[in-house]
Amino acid sequence: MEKINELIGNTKIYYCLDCGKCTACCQVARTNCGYSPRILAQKIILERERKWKEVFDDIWLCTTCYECYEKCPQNVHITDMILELRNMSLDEGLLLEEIRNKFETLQKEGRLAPITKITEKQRSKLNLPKCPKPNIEELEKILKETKIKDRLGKCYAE
Amino acid sequence: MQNKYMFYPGCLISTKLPHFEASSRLVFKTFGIKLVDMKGATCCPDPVSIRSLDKLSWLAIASRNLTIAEENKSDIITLCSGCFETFNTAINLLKDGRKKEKINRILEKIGREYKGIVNVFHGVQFLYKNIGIENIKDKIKKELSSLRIAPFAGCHIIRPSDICNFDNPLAPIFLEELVSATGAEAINFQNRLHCCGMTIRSANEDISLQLAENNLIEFFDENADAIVVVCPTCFLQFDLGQLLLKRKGKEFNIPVFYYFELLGLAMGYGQDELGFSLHKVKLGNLLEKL
Repeated sequence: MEKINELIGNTKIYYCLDCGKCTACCQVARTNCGYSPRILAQKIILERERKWKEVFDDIWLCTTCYECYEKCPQNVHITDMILELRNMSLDEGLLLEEIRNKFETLQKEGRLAPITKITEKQRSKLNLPKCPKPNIEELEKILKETKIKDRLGKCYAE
Repeated sequence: MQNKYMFYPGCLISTKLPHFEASSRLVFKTFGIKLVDMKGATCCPDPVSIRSLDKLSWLAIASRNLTIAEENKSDIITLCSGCFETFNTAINLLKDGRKKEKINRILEKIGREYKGIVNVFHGVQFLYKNIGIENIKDKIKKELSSLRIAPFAGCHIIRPSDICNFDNPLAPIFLEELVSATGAEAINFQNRLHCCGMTIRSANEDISLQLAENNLIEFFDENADAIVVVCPTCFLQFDLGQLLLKRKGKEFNIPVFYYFELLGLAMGYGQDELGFSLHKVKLGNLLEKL
């Protein structure tokens, strides 16, 4: 419950006028798939006592283009609200699988697109220097401090 | 301008799209800008997938990358709109003393400290603001006057506007002007262009491709010879995306360029140097026009 209150405070959701400008400019909403930033905000404000966990189904279609944020007359941090909800979904075991996979790659390689032999070949053909190697030990230590792996372990024990 | 800049092409470009890095290095060399690699840098990290995972981890990793530039006392030039967004959002968040302290307690464990002394530029923003259109025009050897180009700025180089502080967040003109500087004709799309849609590809491929298609239809209707982008994500969405749309029976055949490739061509660099063979939507007809 505190998390929701914190979310509302940080992203100014209570300022929402329910005007719908966000949904009007949202390209995903325009595809008529049912996605609506306005309804997401309303669900949080109105349903927070009861059904707010439903929003975790709706939050993966945001492209984070920030158009809604630019257009909102009340300066509600809509995109940031969606990103915070995604963070919260982790502890509910509802995080998108693709994101967990990307995190695995990041931990292992220090990059989301690993350096391969083909890469090195293409680069040398273009007279490019070798890619600087990411410092994985330092990355490991940071991830230990943020406790992200513990949180993933709790919800997604393999 | 400083005498050197830290160079951060980003994960995607340095591995999957090295020709973008090649063309940008050639262009910066022409302008006498010295680029230094960031030793030990990791993924920025990605402002969508990793940011969606955990804000603290994302911010800590971004800050660590920024400290590498701080050690060198140089600003960063990045080639990717995603990296540009990550770094500038991090810089903005860390203006708050408490957040900065929290991050520094983490960075302390690896002997680092974030001080807040470097700026991060997008390579294309740097060309527009720091080098300027007139200086760019001076270096043009081969005007691309037979080309009609669709300039697609994408999202994260201009939005959110309070982070990017660059051009108009809903109707930018910088890319039109940069395209015109090469001699090509830039199509005006005020208010008609929206997100490429790549970031939701794994969440829902159909909707993602719909967003790409909406933009491609605009380009096609305006008889664009090519699309110019400033972001590797947008590039993949329009380049590879056109192949995927073709399988669904929707054909556009409009080649896509990263701005530095186009500029490199106009500056007289050769197609091999610029790595044109690595594009998926073939450039055949376009190159004949030149």
